[in-house]
Amino acid sequence: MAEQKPREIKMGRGARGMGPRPKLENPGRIFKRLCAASFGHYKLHMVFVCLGIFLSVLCTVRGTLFMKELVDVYILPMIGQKDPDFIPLRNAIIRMVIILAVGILSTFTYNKLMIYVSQGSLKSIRTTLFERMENLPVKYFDTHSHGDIMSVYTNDVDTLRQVISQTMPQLLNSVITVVSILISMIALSLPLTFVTLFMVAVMLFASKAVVSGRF
Amino acid sequence: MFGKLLAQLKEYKTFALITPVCMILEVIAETITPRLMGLLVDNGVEKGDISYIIRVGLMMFFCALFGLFAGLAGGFTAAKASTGFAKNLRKAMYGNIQTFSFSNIDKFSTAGLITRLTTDVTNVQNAFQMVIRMSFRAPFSLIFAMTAAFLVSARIARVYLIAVLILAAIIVTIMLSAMKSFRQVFKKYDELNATVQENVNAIRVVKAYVREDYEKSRMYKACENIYNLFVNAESKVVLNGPVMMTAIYTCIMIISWLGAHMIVNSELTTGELMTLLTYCMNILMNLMMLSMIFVMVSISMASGERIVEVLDETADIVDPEDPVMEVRDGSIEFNDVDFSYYKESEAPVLKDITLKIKSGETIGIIGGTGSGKTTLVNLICRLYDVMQGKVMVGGVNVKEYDLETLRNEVAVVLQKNVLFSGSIYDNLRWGNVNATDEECRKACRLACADEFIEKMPDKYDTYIEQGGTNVSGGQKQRLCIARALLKKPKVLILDDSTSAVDTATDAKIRRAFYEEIPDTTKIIIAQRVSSVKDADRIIVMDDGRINGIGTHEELLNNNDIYRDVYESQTSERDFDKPDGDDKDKGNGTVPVDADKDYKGGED
Amino acid sequence: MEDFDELNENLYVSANNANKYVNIMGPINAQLGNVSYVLVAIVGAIFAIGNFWGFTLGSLASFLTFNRNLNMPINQISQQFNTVVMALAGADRVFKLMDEEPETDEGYVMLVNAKKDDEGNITESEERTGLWAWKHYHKAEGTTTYVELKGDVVFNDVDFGYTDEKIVLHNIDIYATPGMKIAFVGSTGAGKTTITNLINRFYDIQDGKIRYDGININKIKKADLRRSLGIVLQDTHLFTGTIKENIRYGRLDATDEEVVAAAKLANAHSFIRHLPLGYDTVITGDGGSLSQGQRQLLAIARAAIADPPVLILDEATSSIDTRTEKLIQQGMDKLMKGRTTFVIAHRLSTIKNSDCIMVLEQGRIIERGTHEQLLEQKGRYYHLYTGNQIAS
Repeated sequence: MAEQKPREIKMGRGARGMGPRPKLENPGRIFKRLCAASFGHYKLHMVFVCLGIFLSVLCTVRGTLFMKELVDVYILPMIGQKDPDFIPLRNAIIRMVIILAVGILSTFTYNKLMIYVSQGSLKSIRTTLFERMENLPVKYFDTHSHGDIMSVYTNDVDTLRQVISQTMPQLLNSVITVVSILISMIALSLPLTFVTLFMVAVMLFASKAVVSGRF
Repeated sequence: MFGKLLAQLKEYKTFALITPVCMILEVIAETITPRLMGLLVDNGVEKGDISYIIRVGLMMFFCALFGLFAGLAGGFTAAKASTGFAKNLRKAMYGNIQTFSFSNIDKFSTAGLITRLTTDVTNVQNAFQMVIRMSFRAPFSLIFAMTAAFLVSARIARVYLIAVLILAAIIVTIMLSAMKSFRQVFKKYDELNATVQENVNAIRVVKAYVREDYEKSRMYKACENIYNLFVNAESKVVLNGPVMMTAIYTCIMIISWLGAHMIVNSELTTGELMTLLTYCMNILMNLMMLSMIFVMVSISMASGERIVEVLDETADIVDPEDPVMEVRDGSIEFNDVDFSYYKESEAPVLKDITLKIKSGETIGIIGGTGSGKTTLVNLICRLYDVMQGKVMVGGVNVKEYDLETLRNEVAVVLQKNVLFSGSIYDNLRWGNVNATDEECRKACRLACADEFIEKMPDKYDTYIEQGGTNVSGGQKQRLCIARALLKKPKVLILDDSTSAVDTATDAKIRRAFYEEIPDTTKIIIAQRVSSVKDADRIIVMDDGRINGIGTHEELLNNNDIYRDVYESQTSERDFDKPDGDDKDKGNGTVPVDADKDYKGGED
Repeated sequence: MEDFDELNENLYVSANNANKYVNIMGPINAQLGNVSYVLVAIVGAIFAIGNFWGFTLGSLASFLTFNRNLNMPINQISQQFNTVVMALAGADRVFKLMDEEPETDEGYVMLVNAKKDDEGNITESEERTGLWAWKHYHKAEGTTTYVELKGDVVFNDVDFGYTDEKIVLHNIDIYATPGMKIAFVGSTGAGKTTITNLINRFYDIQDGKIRYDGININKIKKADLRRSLGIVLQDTHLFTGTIKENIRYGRLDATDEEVVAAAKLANAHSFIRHLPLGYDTVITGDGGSLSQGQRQLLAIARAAIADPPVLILDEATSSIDTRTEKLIQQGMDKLMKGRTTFVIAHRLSTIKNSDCIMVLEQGRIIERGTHEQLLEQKGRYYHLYTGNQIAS
C-alpha cells in the first residue's frame, strides 16, 4: 500500500460517543427549568392542551367501553328476537360518533397547539442562547473549545427540540391514558385488574433485568 | 444502488434472511390469537364450557410463547445482520479509499469521506434493521389479519379493505408533502448553525466592531424563519393522527352496526365480532407503521447513495500491468505536459511544460501563488496523471513504475505536514520501516532536527500528540524532512517546507544536503529567493507556464519576474541575509556577516 | 489496514450487543402483553360464564381491549422517561451556557458627535460631523466635559495576566501620541498579541493604567471604546454574505461609494471587479472562494471604512506570495497613515519607519527606540535583525 500519502484518513472512533456520562446534579431542578422554558410563555396554551388531552383520553376510553355496551345491551338481548329493534343501537352509535368526533377534534387541537408551544419555546431558547453568548467576554471563547460551544447549539438544542415537541406531550398523554384506563378497569372488574397489573409488573421487571443485567 | 449496497451483506446474508422469517412467525402467532379468542367466547363462554376455555386458553398461551421466541430470535438475527452489514460496508469503503489517488479524494473531501464512514453507515444500518424487521412484519401482519378477517366474514372484511385503501392514499399524500417541508427545514437549520459557528469563530471581529446587536437581530430573523418553516412542516404531520383515528372509529362503528345485524341474523357470532374488531385495530395500526418505515427509508436513501458513490469509485491511478520496479537515477524529464485538476476545466493549471533535470541537480522553483509549482511536483510522483505529454523519472515514464516503488524513490515534503501520535522514532519510521536508530539520528542531523530533539527529556522517544500539536511548526517541518530523508530517495522534493524555519537553519539544511546527499536530485520550492538562490538552476513559474530557467545570475539579468521578486524581498529585506551588491536603505550600518554561502562563494 | 479491521470489528461487536438488547425489548414486551391478554381472557371468560361480580361478556370484550391498550402506553412511558432524562444532560449544558457571566461594563464615558466652536470649545452635536469627542460625566461635580478624540494612548506600568496567578506582561510603559506608529517585535509568546487584547478591553489589566486621550479606559464604555479602534488580525474572519456587506461591517451606514473607496484604499478593488458579480458576489464565512491574500485585503478595507483613530494591526503574511503580499503591504501602509497604530511587525519596512519599536521578551519591553537607535545598541534587536527571522 503506497504510504507516500501525507494525507491520512483518520478512522473516527465510531459514533460521537458521550463517553463517561457526567452525573447530573439535581436533575429535578433542571427538569423544572426545562418545563418553565418550554411552557412558561404559553401558559394559556398549555391549559387548553391539558384540557385537550383529558378530553381526548376520556373519549377514547368511552369508545372502548362501548364494546361492552354493544355486546351486552344491544346485541345479546336481540339474539333470538324475531323482530329486533335496531333503533336504540342506531342512536347509540350516533351518540358514540359524536363523542368520538369530539375526541378526535380535541386530539388534533392539542397536537396543533403543542406545535406552536414547542417551536415557539425552541425559538426563544435559540435566540436567548445566542444573545447571551454574544454578550460573553472574549475570555470565555478563548478558554472554551469552539467545538463544545457549537455542539450545545447543534446537538443539545436539537435533542431539546425532540423532547419538547414530541416526548413531553406523548408522556403526558400516556400518563393520563394509563390512569383513566386503570380506573375503567377497576370499575369493570377488580380481580382482573390485579391479573393485568401482575403481568405489567412482570414486564417491567423483565425490562429492567435486560437493561441493567446485560449492559 | 440497493444491489451494490446489499452485495456487502456477504456472511450475514443468512441472518438477514432468517429475521423476516422469524418476524412472519411472530405475526402468525399474533394473528391466531384473536381468532382463538373468538372461539373461546363463542364456544367457551356462551356455552359455559370451562374446560374448553382452559384448553383454548392454553393454546393461546403457547401461541404467545411461540411468538415470544420467534420475536427474540428475530431480534438477535436482525441486530447481527444489520451491524455486520455495517461492518462490511465500512471495510469495503475503507479498502477502496486506500487505493484512491488524490484526485479521487478531492472529489469527496476528507470530511465527506469521514461522514460517509460514520454517520451514513449508521443511518443505513438502522434503516436496514428497520426494513428487515418491520417492513416484513407490517405488511404480513396486515395481509394475515385481512385474510383472517375475510375468512371470518367477507362482508365485514370488505369494509376494512376499502378503509385501508383510502387511508393509505391519504397518509402517503400527507407524508410526501411533509417530507418535502422537512427537507427544507433541515437545510435552513444547517445554515443557522453555520452562522452561529461563524460568530463563535469571529467573536473578536464582532466585538471589535461592536456588532453584537446587529448579529443578534440577524439571528432573530433567522430563528423566526425556522420557526415558520418548522410549524409548517409539523402542521402537515399532525394531520396523520386525526385521519387515522377517524378511519379506525368509522370502521368500528360501521362494523358494530353491520355486526349487530349479522349476529342477530345468525350470520356471525359474538366471538367472531370481537375477533374482527381486534383485527381492525391491527390492520390500521400496521398501515401507520408502514408509512413510518417509508419515511425512515427515504431519509436513509440519501446516506445509501453517498456510500455507493465511494464504493463505486475506481482509483484513478493504478499500478500498470508489468511495473518497473527500480528507479535508475534521479533524472526527471517533462515532455510537453499539460495538466488540470478537473477534466472539464477550461484553463489548464499547467501548460507546455518541458524540462530536463539531471540526476543530482539542485533545482529551485519560484513563482506566485497559483502559478503551478506544487502541481508540477505532484506530477513527478504520480499523485495525479497528466492530461497530455509525459513525465519521466530515471528515463522511464512514471506511469510504468510500480506505484510504491516510485513513491519511495520520490520523496515529497509538504508545507503542511502531518505527524502522527507516536514516538519520534515511530514517526520517522513512517519513511522507512526498517530504519535503524542510528539512521534515524543521522537523518535528523541532516535536517537540523537533532538540536531540539536532544533538548527534549525523552529525546527520540518523545511522544508526539495527534497532529503534532506539541511541537512547533518549524520543528514539525524538520522532522518531516528527516522522515523523507530516511527513504534514501533518488529525488527529494521540498515544497515550501522551510517556511516556518528561520533563515539560518534553512541555510544549514541546504548545506547539509549539498554535502551529504549529492546524488539525490533536490527540488526546492520556495517563496524566499534566499532559499533557491544557490540552486544549480532555478525555474520561474508564472500562470502555469515556465517563465524562465537559469542560474540566479542569469535570471537576474534576463527574467523580469525573478528580478521583481528578488528586489522586493531583499530591499524589504525581511530580515534576510544581505547580498553584497544590494542597496542598503539608509542607515549606513551593514550588518556584519551572515552565513557564509555554502558554495564557498560570496555574492 | 489491520488496525482498521480491529477497530471495525470492535465497533461491530459493541453495536451488535447494543442493538441486540434494544431489539429484544420490543418482542419481550409485546409477547408478555400477549400472555397478559391470554390470562385475562381465560380468567375473564370464566368470570363471564359464572357472571361473577356482574362480569358479562361485554365486560370481557371491553376489558380485553383495555388490556391491549394499557400495555402500549406503559412501555412508552418508560421509554419516554428515559429520553427525557437523557435530554436533561443536554438541557443542563444549554442552561449553563445561558447562565454564563456576561461581559460587564462599568464604563460611562461615551463617544459622541461633536462640533467645535471658534474658541475651540467642544460641544455635543446632533448630526454626524466627522468630529468625535469623549463625553465624560463627572458624578462628583455633576458636570460634563468633552475631550476630543485624537488617538493618544498611554500605558502606565501595566501588568497583566490571563489568570491572576500567572502574569505575562510586566511593567509595560508605552506613550503613543496621535499618528504615531509603534511596532512590537519579539519571539513567539513574548507578549505581542497579548498587548493588543488590552487596548480594546478584551481583557482587563491587573495593575497599572491604560489611558486613551487621557481618560482611563476602564471608565470608557466598552462599546464606545471599541468603536474608536480598528483591528486587522492575523486570522481573517469574514462572514457569509456579499462582499459589500462584509466591507460594510466596518460601518453599517456606509454608502456604496464609501465601500468602493475603502476597497480601493486596500487594493482590493481590482480583484473584486474581476469577480463574477463584483461587489455583490457572495462569499462564504470562513472558507472561501477567495484566497488568503484576498481575504486579508477585504479585512483591510473593512477597517478602512470604519476610519478609526487608533489601529491595531497584526501583519503576518507568511503564506502568501510576494505579489499579493505587496498589495497587502501597500494597503496596510495607506491604512496606517495618520492613525495611531500598534503593529505586530513582521516586515522590515514597517519596522524601519516606525516611530518607536518595542522589543518584547517574556512580557517585558527590553529595548525601545527607533530602528537606528536600536541597531546602535547592538542588543536583542540587533541580533534579530542580523541573524534570524523576527518571529518563528
